[in-house]
Amino acid sequence: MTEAISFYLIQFIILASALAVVLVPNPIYSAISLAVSMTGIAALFFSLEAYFIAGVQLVVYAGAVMVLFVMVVMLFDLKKEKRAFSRGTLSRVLKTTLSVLIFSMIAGALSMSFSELGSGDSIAKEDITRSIKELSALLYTKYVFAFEALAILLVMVIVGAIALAKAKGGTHAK
Amino acid sequence: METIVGVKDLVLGAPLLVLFFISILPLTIKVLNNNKEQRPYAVLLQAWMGLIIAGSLYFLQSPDAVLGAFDTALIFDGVNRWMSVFLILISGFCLFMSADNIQTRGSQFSEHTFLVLSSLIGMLIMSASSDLIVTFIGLELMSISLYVLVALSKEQVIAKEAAFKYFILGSLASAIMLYGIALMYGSSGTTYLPDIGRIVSELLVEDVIYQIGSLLLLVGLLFKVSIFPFHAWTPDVYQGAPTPITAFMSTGVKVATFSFLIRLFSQGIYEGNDFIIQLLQVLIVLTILVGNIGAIIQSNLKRMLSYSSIAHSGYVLIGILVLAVNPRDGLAVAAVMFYLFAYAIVNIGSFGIVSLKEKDENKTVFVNDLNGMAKTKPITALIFTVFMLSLTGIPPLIGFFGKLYLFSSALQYEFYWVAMWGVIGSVISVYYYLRPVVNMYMREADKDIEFARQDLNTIGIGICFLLVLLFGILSSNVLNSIQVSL
Amino acid sequence: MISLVLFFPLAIALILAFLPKYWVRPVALFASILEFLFSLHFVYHFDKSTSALQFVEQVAWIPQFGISYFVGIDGISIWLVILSTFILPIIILASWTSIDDKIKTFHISLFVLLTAMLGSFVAMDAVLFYTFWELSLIPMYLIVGVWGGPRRIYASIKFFIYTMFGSVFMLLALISLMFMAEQQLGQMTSNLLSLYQLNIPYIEGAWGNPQALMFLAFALAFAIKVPMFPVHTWLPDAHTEAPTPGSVILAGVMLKMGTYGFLRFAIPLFPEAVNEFTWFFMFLGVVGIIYGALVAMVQPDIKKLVAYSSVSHMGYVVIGMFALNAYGVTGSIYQMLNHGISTGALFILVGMIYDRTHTRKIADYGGLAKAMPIFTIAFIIITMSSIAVPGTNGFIGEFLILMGTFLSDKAMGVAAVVGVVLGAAYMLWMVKKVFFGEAGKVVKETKLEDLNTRELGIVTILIIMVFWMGIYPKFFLDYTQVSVDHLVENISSYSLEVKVGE
Repeated sequence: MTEAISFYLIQFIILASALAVVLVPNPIYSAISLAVSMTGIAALFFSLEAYFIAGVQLVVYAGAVMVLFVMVVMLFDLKKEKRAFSRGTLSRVLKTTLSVLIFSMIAGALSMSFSELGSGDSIAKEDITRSIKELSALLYTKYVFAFEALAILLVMVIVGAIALAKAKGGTHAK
Repeated sequence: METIVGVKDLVLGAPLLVLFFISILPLTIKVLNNNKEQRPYAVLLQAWMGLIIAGSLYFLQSPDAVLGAFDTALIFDGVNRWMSVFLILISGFCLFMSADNIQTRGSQFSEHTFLVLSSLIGMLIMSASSDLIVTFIGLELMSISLYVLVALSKEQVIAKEAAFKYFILGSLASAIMLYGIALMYGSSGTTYLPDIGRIVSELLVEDVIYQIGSLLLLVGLLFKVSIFPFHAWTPDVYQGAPTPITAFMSTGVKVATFSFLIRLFSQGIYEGNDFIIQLLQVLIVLTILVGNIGAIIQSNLKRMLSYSSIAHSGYVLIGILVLAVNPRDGLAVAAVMFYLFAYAIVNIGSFGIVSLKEKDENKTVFVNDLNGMAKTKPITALIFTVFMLSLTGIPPLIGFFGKLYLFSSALQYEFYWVAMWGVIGSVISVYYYLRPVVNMYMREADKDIEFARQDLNTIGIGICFLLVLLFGILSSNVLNSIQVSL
Repeated sequence: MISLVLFFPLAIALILAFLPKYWVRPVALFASILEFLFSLHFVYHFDKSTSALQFVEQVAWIPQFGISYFVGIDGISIWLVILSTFILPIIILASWTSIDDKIKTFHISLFVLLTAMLGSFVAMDAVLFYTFWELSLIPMYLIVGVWGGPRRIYASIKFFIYTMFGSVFMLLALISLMFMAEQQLGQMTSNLLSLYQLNIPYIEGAWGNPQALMFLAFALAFAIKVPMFPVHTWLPDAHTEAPTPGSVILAGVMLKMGTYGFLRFAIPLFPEAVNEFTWFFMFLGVVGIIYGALVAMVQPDIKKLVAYSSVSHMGYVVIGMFALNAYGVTGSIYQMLNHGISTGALFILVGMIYDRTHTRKIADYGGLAKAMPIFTIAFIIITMSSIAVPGTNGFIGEFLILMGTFLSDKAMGVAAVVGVVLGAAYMLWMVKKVFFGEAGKVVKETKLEDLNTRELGIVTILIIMVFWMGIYPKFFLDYTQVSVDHLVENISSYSLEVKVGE
């Protein structure tokens, strides 16, 4: 029962933030919504007990990719968009409350996990490391071709993106 | 862990490796040259070196071997060998066209070549793969390169719009396909096609999830080959893209996707699935109708050719339909391959001729632009006429034999309705295929038709023309060789 | 030998492509005469005593489907072959001055068309036949579309699509036959002789049975080509817009491909269906005769009048065929030849006058006899042939057809006789209007020269044929006798043998 609720909740977050990426005019909001979406997907992975993938998702997507996006967005001149940032007392109160809540959630979770560290959950840790080991073994034996082909895909995407950016018309036509 | 990957796999996968490294070669040279673009023909030469090496590696495999690579993620059999060599040829001809076409031979020709070769690698992966995940990777590799290629050279709004449409709709289709793959994995427990095929009969009877999954997988693939109702992107994208890329898309993508469809159906993924069989019949008839009727009202030559390619996808799907009923039918597979071959050569040739006419960067070629070409450029007019007639299906050109084989295999399984609409479609197509011929021979030119100096393109067209004539007469030999290698 | 005759025109077409302009006509003329002489070989070496296929050549083409290059001639097809090769030099001569633009392409089209027509007459393999049948569409389309009149593009596309529409159903029926062959004979084949042996299921009285459907599919394709009412509507447009040589070859030979198709394919392959539908086709034939004649009578344009007279004449051929007795079938074959000669000649004559005056409206003419006496004589002789006056070839053909029709269905016979009267009516009316009476606009305004040597030559040859065929038909009929008897007697279980040796 709880699984169902949490699944639908996470789904809702993912879908809502994905929609927000497309519909919201402010680019920074879009980028952050995408990051939230990615975090939601990581949460899904957690619930499926694919801890390694969840970690990778968080680190790579929400961490590296989104940070990259935000950095690029920062490089644009956003005076016009800055005005879209909400002002006023109510929104300030909301922002402060939310950030305090999130911070306390993270602090609480961290302290809880640290307190559990010494209590003999080495089996769980071993489980996780074993599954990571199996995963990597699979990646390099059974699915090695797929893995390498993805490498080609990545190279191609990089070259393609740069080529597009430097193209005569760029991404915008005359 | 037992060693699953060995040297044998590297040898089998060598064509792909070679192509990848060769594709980077022009880019590397460009970088080392301080970002100065090489001459297009030099890049072309490097690319062709790679293509030839890759192609010859395929011939190293013996004709009736069925070899698995990378723990049978890829399977190389007769069908795959033919299709791969064919894909390599297609890319080669399209590169010929690109080297001469004014839109693609600009300062980014090395990137263009790299992307074309990457797409080729994706196509080769798709036609060889027997695992759903590997297929998806190949599909994405093929498609993403094409999204970029469509957007790359032109400055017109129409090109960017085309690229956007293709990208968004294509990603949607890939996502649907992936969802289907996930469902299929969920219900069968494996992504390896032959294994799925073995347990299909139990899955189909009970498992709704499997049925939905396989249907979604099919939908994603049908999008790629523009079957109704997933065809709407085709005219806009084909029209907006640079002509060599249009040629590449309309032939290579179809060949690769259909060869994967052959693999899919012949492993029995849809065996006994009556719903799919009925659905395919309806879709085939509608595709043929939409493609043929849509082409009639077109005045833009590229758009007309794109609607015609929608119709031709419908014809090829007939062969796949037969495979759905009897996965072991060798004739249907040979017919599909032969028809794809016939269609691809003619299409490349036709787009090549369109490319010849595109002297300026942003000029579109209308059907009326061909007026009076018979007088000024009689040989080109003749070649184009032969291509048009072959697409219609007039004997003794190669298109007729392709249709003959396909309709025969359809009739063999009593798909009378489909065959009837197929031939009616051919009759309708006469009207719009003959219109350029009429213009060339029977109307006077408004102004002189000038071609840019495009030698390699011309050579490519000439080769296609000869192949069309030759294989029309010798079609049985080709068919025989295909069937032998199955 | 057949392959030589069949592909020689293609070789010539290829050679013509590379010749300088001035050489094209002489070489074409010489080559076409040569081709005709080659084809005479068949006349000299034909064995009149057997109904078997002669001069046979057979080579496997697409073995997986049992399709082979299988050609042969018998009594039914021999004169059609000769007619085709005979007409071509005449056409080339007739178009010597009237076609002056893109003459290379024109002559190349003519030779490719000749190969296609010959191919369909000698092909004994169904797919091979279909190939040549469709192949004939392209050069004809070009000839009408490039050198034709003001509405030529419309006419040529109509012709192409109409004919192809019929043919594709024939293709489907053909493929079904091949599969039936696989079931019944153990091996898929499109060899006509094997297909003759098939036992095609037929259910009495029901429409949806295989034999009836296949017969109708074949019949549709042939009926469009003949042309039979009501699918004849492409013909008047095609003829009016076609250049003279196009009309001649269309009326002279191509229409015969349709009737030949009936004789070779539709009737022998589907005997029970034929029996069931005989009345229907006879009826359509009679309708064609009378309708064609009536419409011809009100035409203001000479060429369209002759075009509708074509429809009318081919109606005779059809009823003769479906009489299914020796007289009728012989008559219909003979009439095919006659129609080729006389209607071809009519078109040539009309073309000659059109070259001079550039109008085809009957109203513009009158009193031509005074200005061009020799032309008048020629025209009247050919008219006699068309009307079937005794002494001309037309009489023999129509007489045989009417006898055959009366033997099989008296009512249709009576209707056909009415058609004869009507035929005389419109032709003579036209002759009177054009040649006699007051001098019309054309005579008064244009300086009209009578026939020059070249034209006189063509016309003389044709007139000789008219009288030869009319006075001594035995020469021609001897060749067809045995084959026709064989067909008529064995309709329900038709089979052909192959004659061994050259």
